[in-house]
This record gives sequence, structure tokens and C-alpha cells, in this order.
Amino acid sequence: MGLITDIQQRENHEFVVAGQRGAAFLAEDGSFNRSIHFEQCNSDVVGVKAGTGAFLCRGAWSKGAMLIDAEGKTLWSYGGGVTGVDDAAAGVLGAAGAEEVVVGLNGDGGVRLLSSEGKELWKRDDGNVWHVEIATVDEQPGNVILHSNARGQLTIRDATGNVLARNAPEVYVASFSLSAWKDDPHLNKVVAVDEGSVYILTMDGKTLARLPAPGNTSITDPKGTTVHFSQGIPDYAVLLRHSLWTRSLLYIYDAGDQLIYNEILDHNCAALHAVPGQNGAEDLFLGCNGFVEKYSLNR
Amino acid sequence: MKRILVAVGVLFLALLLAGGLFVYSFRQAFRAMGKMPHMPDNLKVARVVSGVSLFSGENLLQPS
Repeated sequence: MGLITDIQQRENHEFVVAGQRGAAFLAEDGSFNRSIHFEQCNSDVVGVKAGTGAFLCRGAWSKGAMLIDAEGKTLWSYGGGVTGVDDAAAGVLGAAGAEEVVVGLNGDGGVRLLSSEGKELWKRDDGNVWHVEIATVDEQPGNVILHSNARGQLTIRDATGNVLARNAPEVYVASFSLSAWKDDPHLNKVVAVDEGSVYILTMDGKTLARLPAPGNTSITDPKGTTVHFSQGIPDYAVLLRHSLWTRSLLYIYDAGDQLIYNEILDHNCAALHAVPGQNGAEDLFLGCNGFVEKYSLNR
Repeated sequence: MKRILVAVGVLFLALLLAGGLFVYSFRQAFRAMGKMPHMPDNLKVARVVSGVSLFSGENLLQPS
């Protein structure tokens, strides 16, 4: 499977664990069901619904974005090499409800929207689009595009690529991820990081929380998730990966944003997911290089 | 004539020295760019830094 970069639970309660070389499907109790293999991806792979595509290789300079079907077959690829892809995301955009893929490019390549068949629909200028997501605006219909850029700004675009808002948060935002925060279930809070701190931001760049990240020495890929280790109490977990040194940092904060757990792992770990546990509480799945570690609160 | 030859020789040696220094510093800078940054000491040892008794772990997929 390679490095696990995404864990999702389907409506039938099966877990889909996506890695850079394949995906595994686990039963609700975590036991192994089956696996598929696909073409090596050099970036994060995420589970998506885009036409017949089931997995998106988000793309990197060395190898572009790829849409992969449920059996592991590559449906199409975009960019790579001269067209330096920084990131890609899939989702439903706008009122039409079409499943599409948005791609962020390095240099002056800008932002591009692709159909689920890989056809380029439009292109908008921007500089170094490091990271891109398709996100829900609180309580509003129709998803939007959210991306970072060379200036560290957060830009919100509509389904046609027009800029709706552009803001500069207090931290330079390059790579980021989306998560829920506290009791707000919308997956539209931005998780960003600099030396020593993890920032939880709104989509328009306002800081909701600045969490301590002791021992973190540089900007890296942050992942975060709310996790209810005790029923009704929203703890928060953050994962920072330093692939250069094969180290990952796991931080867990209580509902008052106090750091209660801090671990240095000698693995590359890139996926974080809260899963239903016992008595209405949740456990935490951590996806690393070929394995998943489950964290449960000792009672 | 002799003085001119000495001056040209000194100039030549100075230029050679300056050129050598330039090439050396350029090479050093180029090599530094290609070097991996050192892992900070605090990351070298994998461990639970705090909260060791709070959680228990279970491995769900064995390393492939």
C-alpha cells in the first residue's frame, strides 16, 4: 500500500484506507477485508467520487494528478513534468452539482478545473497554488474552491473560478488541510502550521485557535481532526509529517486546547481519522507507511 | 621593463587567487544547497513525550 494518506468510513461502515500504491478495505471492527493495487502515486491519495473515479492521486511535480477507479485502474492523469502540479482536489462544485477536479499548479500555472473525465474546463491565473480544496461554506449551498498561493493567502473561488475572497491569515499558509472544529461539524476549518504552532483558521483567514506544537521545527504538511475520546467532549488531534527525516509528530489537545499527548513516531504517517468506539466515544486511526495504528483512551 | 613584468605577474597571481576563491565559495554554496537539512536532535528518538498513560495503541494493518 505504501504510505497511507487517507482513511474514510463508508455508509456501510467499511473503512477505506488509501495509500500511495493501493487501498485496503477494513470491516467495522478493523479486520482486513480486501485490497487493491494501483500505479504509484508520489503525493497524497484520497478517496473521492468523481464520475467513475474512486481515488485521486493529488499530484506533485514528479508525477501529476491521477484519477483511479475502484479496481485500481488509472482513468486519466494530468500534468507532471513541465506542468508542475502542486495539488488537486475532487468534489461537487456549484449549483449544477457536477463532480469535478480542481488542480493547483506551481509557478504561474494558476488554478484549473477539470471534468471528471479529465477535460480542462477553465483556467485562472495565480502564483504557486500550493494546496487546493473543495469546501463547504457554512450553511450555504454550493461548494467553493479554497486554495493557498505564493503570498501565503487563502483564496476562495466560485465554480467558474472567480475570486470571491482573498485574505492573508496571521500565518503564511502553504500546505493545509480541512477539518471540523469543536462542535461545528463543517469540514471547512483550515489547519496550518509554522514552527512551534498549529493554527485553526476560518476559510476567510481568521484565527480560531493557535495550538502549541512543541518540537516542530519547520513548516510541514498538517492534518487535524476532532475526536471525541469521551462522549460529547471534542478533543482535537494533529499530525505533522516530516518525510525528509521519516518522523511524524502526533499532538492531542483536550477540549480546552491544552496539549495532553505528544508523540514522536519514527515512521511517515499521513492520515488521521476519528472512528466510532465504545459507549458513544471515538477512537483515533493513524495511517502510516503500510499500517494503521488505533489509539483508544485508557479508562 | 622588469617592473612591468613583475606588476603583470602580481596582477596575474591576484586574479588567479580571486578566481580560485570565487570558484571555491560557489562550489561550497552549491554543495550546501544539495545537502539534506540535519534532523533536529529532539526528533531523533521516537518516543511518547507526554501523556504516555492516556492512550493504548493497536496495530490494524501489519507493515507490508
